[in-house]
Amino acid sequence: MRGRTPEEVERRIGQEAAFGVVPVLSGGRVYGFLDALLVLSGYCIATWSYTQGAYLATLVGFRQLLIGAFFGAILMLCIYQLPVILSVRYGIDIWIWLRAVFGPAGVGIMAVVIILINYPWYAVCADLFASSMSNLAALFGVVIPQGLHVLLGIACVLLGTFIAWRGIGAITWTTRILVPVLLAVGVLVVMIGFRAVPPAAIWDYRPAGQAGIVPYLLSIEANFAFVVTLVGGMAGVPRLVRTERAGLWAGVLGQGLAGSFFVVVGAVMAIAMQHVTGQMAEDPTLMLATLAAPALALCSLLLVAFANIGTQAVGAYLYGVMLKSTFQTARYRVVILILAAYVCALCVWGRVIDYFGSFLTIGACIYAPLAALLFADFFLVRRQRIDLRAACGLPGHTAYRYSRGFNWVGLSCVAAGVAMSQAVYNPVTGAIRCMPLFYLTPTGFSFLGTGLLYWGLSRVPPIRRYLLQDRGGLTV
Amino acid sequence: MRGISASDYEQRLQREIEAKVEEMERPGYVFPRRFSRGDALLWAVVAAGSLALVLLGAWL
Repeated sequence: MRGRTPEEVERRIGQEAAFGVVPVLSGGRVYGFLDALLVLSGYCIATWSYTQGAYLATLVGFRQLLIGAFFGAILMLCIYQLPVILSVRYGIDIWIWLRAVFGPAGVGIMAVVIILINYPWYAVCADLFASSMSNLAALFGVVIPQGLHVLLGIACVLLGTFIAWRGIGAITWTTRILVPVLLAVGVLVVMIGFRAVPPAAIWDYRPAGQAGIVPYLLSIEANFAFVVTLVGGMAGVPRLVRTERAGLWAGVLGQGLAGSFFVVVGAVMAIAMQHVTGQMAEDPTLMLATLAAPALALCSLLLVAFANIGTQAVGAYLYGVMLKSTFQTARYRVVILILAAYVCALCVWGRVIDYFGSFLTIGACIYAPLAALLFADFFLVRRQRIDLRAACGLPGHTAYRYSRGFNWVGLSCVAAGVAMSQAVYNPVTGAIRCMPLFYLTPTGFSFLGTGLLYWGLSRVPPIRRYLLQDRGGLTV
Repeated sequence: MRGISASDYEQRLQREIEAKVEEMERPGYVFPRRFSRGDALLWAVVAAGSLALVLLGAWL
């Protein structure tokens, strides 16, 4: 990327964002099942998986945690990933299909909302980076004051943004290094965790003061929310996959097995730390510094530090391109600076980790209705057929323009889905508002309720005509 | 691409999209292998099995 001018970077990013909307024909597919599985696994594993694992360990015992992390995740993935078979069939990503659900302008609004609720993940990452640096300094006997924690977090954001600033070349190299680094850290954490404590201490672990069904339901909700919030970033891969079967199972297993494995690794680490020190920790560096030999801890800490910067860079790039493809006149570098400013503000606030469970459920408040609409629209309303010309925005094909670019039925259903989730559970205070519906979990209830509402509305003749203006343009 | 205006670029993009859609509309176009009845059955078994285990987990 040396010597590349801002205009060149802008042009290449623009090209990537723009050509991301061009359908990929069968002959141009590059991924079989294994390739897609690896790419999606790489996307799903990040240091925040440890935070999720540690959070689950505060709610339930290890056996319930295993069931929730793997089977809770796979259950939700089986349902919300099913519409990706459309992505594979037509070679388009889900954001193109969503034009049928929200209208092109509505998709723009949803993209911004999704970034607002998703981007706090990167503040989690920055916080972990700051902790890792503090632990690294502690290995050399240097105590870093608490005030510097925020500055270290901001440094992580700025370093990640700098890599994303350089464009696709720097990002490609970062991801090539990032995935093996994360895998190495995961293996190290498991080895150290199981060597530090007897296996029975982990297998028989139960959190103190948690009893009854509510903690288990909260853990299932956290697993649903955790997997459903990654749908936006995973949306671009299935259009490059060769068969519908491979597209679906790569998504389900990439996140349901690889992603969940790292959540369980985080839980093992947290439980081992509690067994040894009496204090639970979500930070892998704290565990490595406490439980491993100093030389191994030093290497591991450096790996974790790099992984956090790399994740930050990939996130800035992915969401920068997503925003650029939605708002084509925006400049990529301005977009990633705005994203960086948002994460820096969250770092200064410093409470994202404290509100981790709330933040997960708030994210799922939006994602659950979104996933429900995709499912209902694909299978029940449009019955797996789409006006491809209208979805791709070709001139003269206006079936998805709806009301000046907004599909108010779809957008109203999202609002209703958020309200349904809120009616069951307050994610900020943690208060359960309706226990009978809480058995379905807030995400589960919102998903079911929104899907049924959208399908029910589509049965009302005037609304059906409004939604299905595309029936005359079905050419594929 | 240097020197190409935004509107030229947009037109090129639309031509590209149209060509791809036309290709898919041709009668002989081979779509990726479809999700079969067997795939649907496997999907149902995995989803139902996961649901059963999640429910079972409440009693652990």
